Amino acid sequence: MSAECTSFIIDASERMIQTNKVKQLLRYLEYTLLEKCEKGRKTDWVDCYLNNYIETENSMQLEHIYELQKMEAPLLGSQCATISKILNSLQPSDGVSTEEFNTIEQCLLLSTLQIKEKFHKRKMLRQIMCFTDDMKSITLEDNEIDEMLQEYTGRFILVDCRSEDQIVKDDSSGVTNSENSWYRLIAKCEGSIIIKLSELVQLVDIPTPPVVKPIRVFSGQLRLGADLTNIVNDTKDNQDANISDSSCLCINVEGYPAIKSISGLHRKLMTKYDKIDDKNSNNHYSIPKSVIEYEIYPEPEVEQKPTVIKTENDDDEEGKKPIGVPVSNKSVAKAYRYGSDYVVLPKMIADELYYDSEPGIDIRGFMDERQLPRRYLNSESVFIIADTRLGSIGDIASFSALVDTLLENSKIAICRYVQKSGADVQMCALIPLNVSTTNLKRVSTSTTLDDNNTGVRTLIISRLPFSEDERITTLNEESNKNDTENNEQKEQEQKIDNLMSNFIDSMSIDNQNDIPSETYYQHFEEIQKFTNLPLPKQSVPLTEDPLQMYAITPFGQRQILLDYFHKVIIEGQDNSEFTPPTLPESILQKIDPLHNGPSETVLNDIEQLISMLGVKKNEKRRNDGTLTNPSDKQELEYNRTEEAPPLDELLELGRRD
Amino acid sequence: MSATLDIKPLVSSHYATEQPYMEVQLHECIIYCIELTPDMFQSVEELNGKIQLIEILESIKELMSQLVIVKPGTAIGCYLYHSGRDTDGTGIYELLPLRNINIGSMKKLNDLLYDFENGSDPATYFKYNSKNTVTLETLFMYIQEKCGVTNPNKNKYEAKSVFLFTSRDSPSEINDTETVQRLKRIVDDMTENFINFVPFFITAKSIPFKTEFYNDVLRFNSRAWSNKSKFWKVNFEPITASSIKMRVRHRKELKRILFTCPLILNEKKKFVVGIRGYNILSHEKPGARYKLAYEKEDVRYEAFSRRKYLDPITGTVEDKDNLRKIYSIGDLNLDIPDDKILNLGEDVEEYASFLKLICFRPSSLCIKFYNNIDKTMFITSDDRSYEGSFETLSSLFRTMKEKDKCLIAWGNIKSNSNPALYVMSPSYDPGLYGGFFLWKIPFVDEIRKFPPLATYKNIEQSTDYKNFCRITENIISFLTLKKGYDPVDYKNPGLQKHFKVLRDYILQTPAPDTSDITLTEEDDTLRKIINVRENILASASSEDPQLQRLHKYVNVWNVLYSKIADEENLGVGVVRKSSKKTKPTLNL
Repeated sequence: MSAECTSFIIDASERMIQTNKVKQLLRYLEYTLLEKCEKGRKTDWVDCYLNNYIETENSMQLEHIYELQKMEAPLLGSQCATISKILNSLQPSDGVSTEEFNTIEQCLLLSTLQIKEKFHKRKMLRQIMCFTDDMKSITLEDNEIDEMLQEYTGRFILVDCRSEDQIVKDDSSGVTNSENSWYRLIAKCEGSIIIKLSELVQLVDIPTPPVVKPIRVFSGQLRLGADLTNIVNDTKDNQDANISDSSCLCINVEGYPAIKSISGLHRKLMTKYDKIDDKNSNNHYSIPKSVIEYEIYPEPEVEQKPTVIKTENDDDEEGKKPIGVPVSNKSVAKAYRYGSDYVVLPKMIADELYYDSEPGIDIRGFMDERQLPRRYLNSESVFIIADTRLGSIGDIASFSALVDTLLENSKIAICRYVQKSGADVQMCALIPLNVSTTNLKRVSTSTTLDDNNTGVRTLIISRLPFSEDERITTLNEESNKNDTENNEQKEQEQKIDNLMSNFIDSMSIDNQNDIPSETYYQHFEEIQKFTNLPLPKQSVPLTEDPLQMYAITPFGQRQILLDYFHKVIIEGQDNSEFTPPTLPESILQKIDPLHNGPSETVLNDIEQLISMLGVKKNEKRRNDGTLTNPSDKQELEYNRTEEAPPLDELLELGRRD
Repeated sequence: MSATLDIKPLVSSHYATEQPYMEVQLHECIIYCIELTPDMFQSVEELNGKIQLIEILESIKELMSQLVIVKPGTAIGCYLYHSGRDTDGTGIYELLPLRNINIGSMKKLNDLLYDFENGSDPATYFKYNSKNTVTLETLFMYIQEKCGVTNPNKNKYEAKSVFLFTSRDSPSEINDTETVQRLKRIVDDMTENFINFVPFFITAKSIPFKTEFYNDVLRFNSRAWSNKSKFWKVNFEPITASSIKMRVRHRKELKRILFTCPLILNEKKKFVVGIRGYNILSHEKPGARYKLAYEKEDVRYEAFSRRKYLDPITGTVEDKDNLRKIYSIGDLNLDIPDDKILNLGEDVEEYASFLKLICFRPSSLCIKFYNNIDKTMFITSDDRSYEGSFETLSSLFRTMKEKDKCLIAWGNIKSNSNPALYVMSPSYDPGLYGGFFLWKIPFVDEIRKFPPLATYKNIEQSTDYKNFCRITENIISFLTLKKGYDPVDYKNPGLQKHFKVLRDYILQTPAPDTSDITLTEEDDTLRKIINVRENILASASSEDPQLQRLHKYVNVWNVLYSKIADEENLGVGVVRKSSKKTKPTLNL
């Protein structure tokens, strides 16, 4: 993302405070500024002015304009906190009609001037975001606007903070006719927009998944029938040999991540100090230095043993902690497990442990997609595409032909995949996919993307299990029909299944609104984000497909972070009294799309089902499992029993009925 | 030859530790029981003149090599009966005591096989003695004692298999009805204690093995649960000597419970059942199982690594209580208590972990191949936490299968995992799995963007392209895998290499010369890939015009590839440049 600067001009008039508009815009501002702090970009500049304010503080000594924050990049968390604290503490100042100070026009000029002075002709996106509820706050003639735009090469974003009443009043009194200065400014200045405050504040509760720049993870050849020598070696000569070998197919390809899992927001391990730094109450944390040490526990000398026990003062066995002797990491080696033994290999042999491999994708054969159990796929997915950088149109055409043919015949390819030199050898499935270019055409500037190009071909690669990876189940079958079952039982079963069928129907979403495979993946270039400033319509809303959902953890945590920042840091609430907000509506409606749930009749069916199936929480178990405050040890033991159930219990389950 | 071998024990001394990486698996043992008969020492035509007994002993070696990779905690023992080599007068010779797979046993077996190969006579060694008869009753009691059923001092095993090798279908007990009855009772007892017989009745064309007696005594005919429970699928058909190794091939059983949690079907009515998730795949990596060893003079101690946090200025060790996980925003540190970093709502507040039903949906809309993110898990009922779970899931299974639907749910399956979105599908492999598969669906945030291309040029409308597709289609049809993909056919070459190096070192096997032949021998994946080339080359030299077509298509493909590449130059390198960086040279 290229450089940008944003100037926040906030109308802090009596009315803005009284109508709570300042509080509302603060939520958006905190959300926006915290994100900027977190990203810490050196090219993302921010300043902030208060207008119609009692006090004065700015470089030109313009009255009632208060410069809250000088142009800065990146903005620090503490600066963000200062801005928030002041905005949060604004109180109506009795009697003074501060909106009559009418400083916004001056402030716009001040801001444009300062941007020009600071950045001169530097190439960057310049934007002034003005929050006000006064449509008469500027009165500029056309020539004045032109003059201003000669000095300022950015855009304006007017955040309309008016209440419904004000809008009606303004409309009837002709304030907002086409002659209004704001309207004329926005119309004349390219890229400028007017947004309602309420629209802006909503953005805080809508997740915006981050767009990660594609990073190449594989570059090499996709081959079929290559010579062994040219598979296990990867010099230029071998690569050329594969290309010119007329008994082998060879296409130059590259790989990029397609699916990559994410976790929650990152937290840093820090040391907390009890002493609070006077200057900044947040500064009592520091990052500790992490080191790995090695220790051994040699057998204590026989004579020492009694003394050890004596000094322990007859403590019980558990109280005795053996004392480790630190050793140098140079004399520590890996002892590999071999059955119940552990083997330390001499250095020479230890080097042989690793299997040499060279990058490449070699096709083993083709098969029907239906024939491959879905459960075999066991890794994140990667795009394999024809190499348009180092390859030729021959690579693109042959690759597309392969993908098209596979798609047409519902086939997939099985291959041997080595991602890079020395990486693990894997067996993988190559799944053909056509990625539509319809949306891309709207934004792409590529001259080679003409109308006949309907889609880009890719093979999605995913790991398959090796012989050693597979585990075979020997468990009871849910579906096992018992032959000895009598009619009465069968009838009962049928009755249950009928009720279950009603339940399933009541909870079904059957409409074919799944995302078509062609548009499942978006092109990177489709995402036109030219500013870091959160604005409406920046991300595509989710479809009705229940399988399309925003990541819960990072977004939920971000919401909590924002709330915590406002309540604890800004408002000074006690840490222990903080209650984290629950998931926002945008996620709730996805995890509970059938909000009203089953109808009364189905609820009755469910009740019947519960009683017929004998569904009941095993209370004893519950008490074991949900101890309110289990000590580490108890939890450990609990987990252990979870992991290894006694065989007889497993068999018992198998024997039932 | 083992004089230089360095297998000093790892002294972990009095500080017993839990191994965090050790898999919690059922402790399983396999007992080889081999009845010595004159046939056992016969060389067999099918084995190219190899002696049957040696084939069996080699199968133990192979089994150990295999189990050491996938289930290193398995115990193996080997007992031969009617032997004069016994030490306790029982007639049972303990060749390998029942212990977890270990270097000592492997070495003993390896040395023995080496000796036999170099002229030593197995019959002399094992001292087969027809007078030293061991009755089945004695044998069965002996087995029970060995695997700890009747001996409290022995190791306890949760699963016990007896690989019974015999070529004698009519032992002396056959006509003694009273003894047969007693034997059956012993076998029932053993079954109760989870000792299972895996029969290896060795048959030959000249003397076919009659299974009646053993099937009766070992209760293979009358075990009610054996066809219902899939725990042991007993194959009691007699086998020929050449298929011994095949049957011995043992695979890992599914045993690791990954999680148990409630499945909330309807919160309002408390329609909640318990489920258990199992790993059906484990991505085994070479060198993942190890301890640290510290070597000093003659002793070798187990070493332990420990991460410590130091004050960056003073270098003193930080107190654990002061270490916090902090959200850091620029210079701002937000110390949000651990229990407040996520709030999933009141509905699920009472569950530490859970899956909650979102909806049911037609399978065709749920099962996609192009967006995999993680391993699939296998789900069965957990009746220990919720009664009626088995019955509920059975009914769900039947009904969902009939409607061809999947269940979509969300939740955190473990108390410390992040909530995710899942599809739960009734299994569709007849006979293999009974239960549900559960797999994660990526969140929008986890779907990456398709990379920008240097060119979007294509020639889809051209005749050349249509020809390309036709040729490709023909090549694909020639190279279709009829059986699809079976993991059993592909051993992990990295893993095999790791354990081969360890094994060769332990057994002091001289390293063979490396050549292409050993490459494909050691790497299943390469061998299978080379097979494709062999097919193409075979097609070229084939007399059959039908078969010749494959090579011709491959040729035409290459002609088209070069033709298009030459005609439509992209203005970039036609042939890729070597990806290897050359060293910068000093230009003076």
